[in-house]
Amino acid sequence: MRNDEEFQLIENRLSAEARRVGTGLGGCPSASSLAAEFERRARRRRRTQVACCGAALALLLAGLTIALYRPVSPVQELGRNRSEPEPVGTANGGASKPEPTLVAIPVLIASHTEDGQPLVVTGWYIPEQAGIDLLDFPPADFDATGRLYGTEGEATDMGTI
Amino acid sequence: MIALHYPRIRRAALFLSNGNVWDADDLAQETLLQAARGWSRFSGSDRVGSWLYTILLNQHRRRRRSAARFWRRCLGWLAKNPDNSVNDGPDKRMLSEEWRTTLWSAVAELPEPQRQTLVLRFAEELSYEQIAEILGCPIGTVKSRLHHGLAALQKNLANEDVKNAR
Repeated sequence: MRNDEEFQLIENRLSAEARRVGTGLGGCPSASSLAAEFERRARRRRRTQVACCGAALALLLAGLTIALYRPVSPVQELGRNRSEPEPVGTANGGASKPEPTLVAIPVLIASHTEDGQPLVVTGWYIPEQAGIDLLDFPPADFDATGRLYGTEGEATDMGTI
Repeated sequence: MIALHYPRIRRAALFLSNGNVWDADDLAQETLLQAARGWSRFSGSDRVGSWLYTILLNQHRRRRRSAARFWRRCLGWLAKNPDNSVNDGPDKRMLSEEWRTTLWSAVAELPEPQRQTLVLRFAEELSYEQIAEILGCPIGTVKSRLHHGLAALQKNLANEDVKNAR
């Protein structure tokens, strides 16, 4: 079959089907009912748009909250409880170094090597929230700190740095 | 004007919306609304039909381009169910079911320019000159789009025949 003849078949089929479907649509509604229908649709569209915008806004806020939320670190938690001060900086050079937060300040802490030589290690100072537990502070470290600061042998009641 | 042109606009909108009566009604009403807004600027009163078709096609293109199309479909679906399914009546539901059996459902798969040309030619039975005026392109382009559209449909039908034969 030639292309033109086959096209003719398709054209006829399209026209016939269009007429058949077109008759199912019915006539024209009255102007007043058309206006009412249009108003109803516009109202519904507005309502759904508002609902969608609200949902999108809520999602955005939830996303922002999740993105900005930082869990409270254990150091901060302990720091709030002044009766249980947490050591800041350790003698082994920070193996259990607390995670720095926005308010943490890096500090140098005196320590000592295995043969007793003074040593300075890094640590984190969180103002008013963390301290050094003197009871757990090894005497060698305490001596080393004293030698560094020139306060050898002076035991103070410093609970915090 | 509404009584004269609305049925044709709505029918063309139905073919452009792939048999979705809800979308077709929306499209036809938006077209009339745009026409009402621009009526004072329209001068060629003897070509209202072509003018309305042009608005319809522009609206259709705009809706397809719109990033919110997906949401509108979802919302349209939500809005239709369940209340509207009652309001739509059996005629509309039958129309949607009938649509799937027609060759027009294959036309929906064609590129937009071919699809619009086929709708104007075979659903609205407009002349080449009228289609060229509405689409704002030369008659040769209209004929070319029709040819390519029909060729694609022919290919689709041939593929379906092969599938059915298996």
